[in-house]
Amino acid sequence: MKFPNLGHGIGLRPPHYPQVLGGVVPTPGLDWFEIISENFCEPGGNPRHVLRAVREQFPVAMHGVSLSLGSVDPLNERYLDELARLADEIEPAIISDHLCWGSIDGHYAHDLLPLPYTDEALAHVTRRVLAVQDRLKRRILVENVSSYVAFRQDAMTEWEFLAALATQADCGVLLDVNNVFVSAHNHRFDARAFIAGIPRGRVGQIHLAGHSRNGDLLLDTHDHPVLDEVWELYRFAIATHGPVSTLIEWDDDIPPLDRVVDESRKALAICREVGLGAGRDAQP
Amino acid sequence: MRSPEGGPRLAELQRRFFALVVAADGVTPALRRAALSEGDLDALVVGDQRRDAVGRLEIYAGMYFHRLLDVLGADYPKLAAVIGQSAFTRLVRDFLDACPSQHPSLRHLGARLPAFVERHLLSDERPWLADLASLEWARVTVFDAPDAPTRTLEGVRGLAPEAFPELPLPLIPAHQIVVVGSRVEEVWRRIEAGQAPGAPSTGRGRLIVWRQDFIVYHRVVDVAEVPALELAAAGATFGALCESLAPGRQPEDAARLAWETVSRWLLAGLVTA
Ligand SMILES: [Fe+2]
Repeated sequence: MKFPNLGHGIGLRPPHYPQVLGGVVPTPGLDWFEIISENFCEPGGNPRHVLRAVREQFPVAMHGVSLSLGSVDPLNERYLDELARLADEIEPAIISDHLCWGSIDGHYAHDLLPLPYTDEALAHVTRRVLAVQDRLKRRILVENVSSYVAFRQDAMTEWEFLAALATQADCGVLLDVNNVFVSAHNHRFDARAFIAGIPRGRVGQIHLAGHSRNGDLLLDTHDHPVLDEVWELYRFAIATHGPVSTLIEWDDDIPPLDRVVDESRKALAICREVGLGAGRDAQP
Repeated sequence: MRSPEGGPRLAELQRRFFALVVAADGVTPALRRAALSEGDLDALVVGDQRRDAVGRLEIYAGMYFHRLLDVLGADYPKLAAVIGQSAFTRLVRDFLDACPSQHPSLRHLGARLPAFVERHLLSDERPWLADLASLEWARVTVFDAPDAPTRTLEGVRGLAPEAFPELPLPLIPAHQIVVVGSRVEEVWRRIEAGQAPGAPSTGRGRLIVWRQDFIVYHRVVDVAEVPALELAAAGATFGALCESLAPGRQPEDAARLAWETVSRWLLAGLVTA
């Protein structure tokens, strides 16, 4: 049932490749890396080279953006094959994607589009997660997204949907605390109710990131440090769910590696303040 | 068809939502085209006084376009430099409308752009733009093409003389031949050097694009090298290459010519073991 607790990590991003190839070793705040799976699906060249070098030193999680778990299109078998091949090669500690859809009739928006939280959608996504887990021969984590629209027909809250999905598909939850904060603001719900609404033992990983303001709404831009309110929410999340693998996402205006690791150390410090120690499993 | 909870079924909702998000002319014109009112959209999506339903969809529409524009700008920096950012933005709008993404990874989004440029209005005045785009796409393609071990010049020099005729010359997977109608590599080089792009000299030819030590290169293929590359691609040996050069030459001259070509390939890391 339990997902491995990798400690505190950061997303592997191209501006950091030279430094990574120069040799990075685990340090507090840099226990592991997460990759965007799509960026490493091609078989050769520098991205794979960097990934192999990273994998020699660190646990790696594969985080995808294209499974389109909520789409009514058939699952993309070729993409699943690519994921399976990549997973065979790098043996990731975690594989995750999002509670969203991004394609229809074979066309891709390359975005994490929100689902209506209906029984129809829940049954559909549950079937798909089960199929993906069968195909990859492991349980996956499903992440809550930031959203800017909600649908009139919603029959339950997002966290009720996610909790039911996790239970029915026996998958884990990648709890993106920043996404909870952004969506809570945009749709005026209680962020803590969301976090408390996820069943204990289901949260396999946490994401932290920066967002920005767009008029009266918040956008999930990943181009900033984590905001104070999101740190507070993180404190609440780990106090509620216990220590889990925690990752800083920084995707735009990316600062030097050390700055991102500093951000990750803040998460580690909060973990210690909450009394969860360095909060990671012994490394194999 | 209504869902049990009311509202459209999931498939219908996704089709409507998608069409509004990817519409080249924006959410409101797309609504009008679909004979939907803002009221119809309000029945689907919750808006509030901070942002109405259209405004909320416009967030997705804007993010969609700018994300894909950024990706194509990174794949085609020289094309963008030649036509300018605003023309490039219009080109991308036309392109996404005509050739929506069909692959889960953004890595493949730009695959159809060179052919699209060829039939775009932009090519009326500058028919070489499609060639420049083809060169840029070939560079994207070889960047992460499969790895392969390479033969070195020293390694081949060390072979016994009798091994040469049977030496196979397979080229690495991370190479492409681009057939061009003008010398677009000149434009590419000037932009790279921070100069004005200008226009290319005319002249058909081929470019070879390849990766060595994780760096992507391209150069013009010499006229005499064209048949040699074709032979290598067809699986020919060094001996067969010499034979192809033999008519009208002394055997030693044919062998020397073949060796010049092959050693150039070996130095460039183009021959796989
Ligand atoms: Fe996230």
